[in-house]
Amino acid sequence: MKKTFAVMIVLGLMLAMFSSSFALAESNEMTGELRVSIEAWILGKFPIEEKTKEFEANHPGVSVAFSMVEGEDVTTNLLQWSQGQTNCDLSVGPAIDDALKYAQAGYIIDYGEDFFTGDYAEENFVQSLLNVNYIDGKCYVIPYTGEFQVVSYNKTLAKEAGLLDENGNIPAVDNWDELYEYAKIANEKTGKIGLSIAWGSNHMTYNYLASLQGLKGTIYGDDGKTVDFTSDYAKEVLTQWHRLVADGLTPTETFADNDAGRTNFKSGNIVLHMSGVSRAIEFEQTLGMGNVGVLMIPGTQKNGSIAYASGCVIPVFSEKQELAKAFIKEVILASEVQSSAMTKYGKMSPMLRDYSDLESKVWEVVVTTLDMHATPPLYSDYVELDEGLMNPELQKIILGVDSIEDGMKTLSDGIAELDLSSSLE
Amino acid sequence: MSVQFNQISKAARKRRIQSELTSCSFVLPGFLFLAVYMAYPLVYTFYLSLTKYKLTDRAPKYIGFKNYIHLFADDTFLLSLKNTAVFAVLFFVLVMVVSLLIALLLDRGVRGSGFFRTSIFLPVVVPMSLSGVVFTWILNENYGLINYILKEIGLGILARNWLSEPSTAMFSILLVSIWKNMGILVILYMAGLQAISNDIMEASKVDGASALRRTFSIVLPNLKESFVVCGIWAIMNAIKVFEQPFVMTKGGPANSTMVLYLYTWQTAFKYLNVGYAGAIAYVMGICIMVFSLLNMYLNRSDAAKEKLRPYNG
Repeated sequence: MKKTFAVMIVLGLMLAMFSSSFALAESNEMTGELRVSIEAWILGKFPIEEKTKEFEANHPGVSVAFSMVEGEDVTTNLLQWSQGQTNCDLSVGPAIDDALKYAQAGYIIDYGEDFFTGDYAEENFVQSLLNVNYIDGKCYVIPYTGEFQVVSYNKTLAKEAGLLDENGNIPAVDNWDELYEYAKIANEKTGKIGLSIAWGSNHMTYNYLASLQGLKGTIYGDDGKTVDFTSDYAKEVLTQWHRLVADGLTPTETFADNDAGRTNFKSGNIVLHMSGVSRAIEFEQTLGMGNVGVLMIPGTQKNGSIAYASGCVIPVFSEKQELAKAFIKEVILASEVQSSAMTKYGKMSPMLRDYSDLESKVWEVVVTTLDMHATPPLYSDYVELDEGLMNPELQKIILGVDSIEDGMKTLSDGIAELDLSSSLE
Repeated sequence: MSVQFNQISKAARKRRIQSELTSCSFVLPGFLFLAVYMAYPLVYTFYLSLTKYKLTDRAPKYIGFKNYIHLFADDTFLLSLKNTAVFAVLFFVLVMVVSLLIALLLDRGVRGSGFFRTSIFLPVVVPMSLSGVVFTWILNENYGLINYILKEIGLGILARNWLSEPSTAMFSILLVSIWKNMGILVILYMAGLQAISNDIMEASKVDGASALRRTFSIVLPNLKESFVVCGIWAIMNAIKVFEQPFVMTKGGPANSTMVLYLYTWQTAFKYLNVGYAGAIAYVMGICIMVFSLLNMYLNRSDAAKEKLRPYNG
């Protein structure tokens, strides 16, 4: 009896010890310093630092340390994480193609179903911005902002060119011939640049994919996996782009300076500008509220444009994973943070709740098309496709260095050599 | 006697060993630094260049010289090799000649030479990341200063999209590179010019040598050492050109300003293909070495020439 009693006491003590150590571990995970690696521009546009103070007050014993980075440094992260170490518990900034590399190496966590509860249930997210972040059916990135491609226009100049309808908007276009005509009229009537297209390294691929999606309803070829460079739709996009440049309606200044179109539009030198939708809101800040309109890229009002997102990843080596998740919900996705970035900079919130009571008319277009958009392809070699193949070859086609047929062949041959897989296997 | 001699010899050996150890201890930090930060990366990069290895792979896979063989079937590599060669030749010639001319002018003590010296050296201290962005604006087609001036002086027909046309992009980068780098060479040349003895110059004047004659017969031959240093510097900076296209064109338009260093960076840090990038880096390193040796050979001193001359009995 005595022996049994002694064994029970020992077992009880052991149980108490284990449970207290688990509780301690859990409390350790929710206290201490949370190291957040964040791209510098994000802190400038999203009021994250102010909200962080509130987060620290709500979580006694927690402090948040930001380390600012210029851009997502995939190489450094991969090297560091390959050693089983991390200098951040949360990385804010990567897009899904960066995250795919991390996920393939097994360095970032899958958020799992636990994350998507309550106010953050999956149905409360903008689906096109959330869906882009799934790999093999698992979510590795929580989006903090998104974009899709549109044509912004300067209403004062469009009015001068006689392009506005009775409602004060440019009527929607169904094909590229109509958009070409708008650019031509705008140029002739105002003497300004008719249509600028963001053909820099940051938007070239998105603009091609959005234009293709608009005309074809998909960005893929017959196999449903390879980006289409061979169909008549692809040829139509490339033909029209080349024609716009050859006829002097669209400048190629964005080849060298990604922001040339953006700067020129703000200076009142451009009537129509094809880029991300956030630019329209940003332009309003300079040109005046209500002086910027949004026109969908031909066909995208029916087939959707291309939407893409940037998000947050948590390294598996972080000891503060739960705290990092709480930070995402309470700070990054907080309504005040998202609404501020939406209003001032046109950054699309990933949360549906933020799309009401918005002053700018631009958001009406965004809201009505929110879940129509397709997403860029998720390929292991996406960067090679984007920067190594599409950017230089599309520039050659636009400039007429390569004929459209030769360029299409180069593109289709080039993509055949790339790794288009996206699986974690 | 013999014992005494042995003792002296032992003491001398001990002193020599101590002296060598002391010398080694001074050399050791530098040696370790070079071993860790130069030799090891060089050897490891060479090993990586013989492997198929992306940073997302678990481990490098040895493939022999396949990366090197693949280079010669890689259109982007061949184009960047050609672009680098074109840039290097033009940059080398122009920067060497222009810097020398400016140094000769400044050495003559023209009025305001202090101001000009500072102005010419100033671009060297401005980071390329900043001056590159400013030049992107200056060379812009629609709001750039160059086109504005051309239009104002009635030469609007010459206005063009300097950085977005393949025919002018490399030329624009070349001019910016010369503006950025010639300050260093001017200083090096001026140091060489100031080392030339005044006595020789005075004597040549007394002998009635013209300024042109003095330049070709006295100044230039005495600048041989400067030519070697400036030449190696110019070759290295020409082949290693990176910042200018990186900031101003990102290798575009249509890869017309894609150079070896930029392609290496893109392959390693964008595509994460470090094995292949290692092979490109080694080819680039060999190019730099070959051209530097060639420059040294062409500018070798007379004494060295004598040594190299075959003995004729």
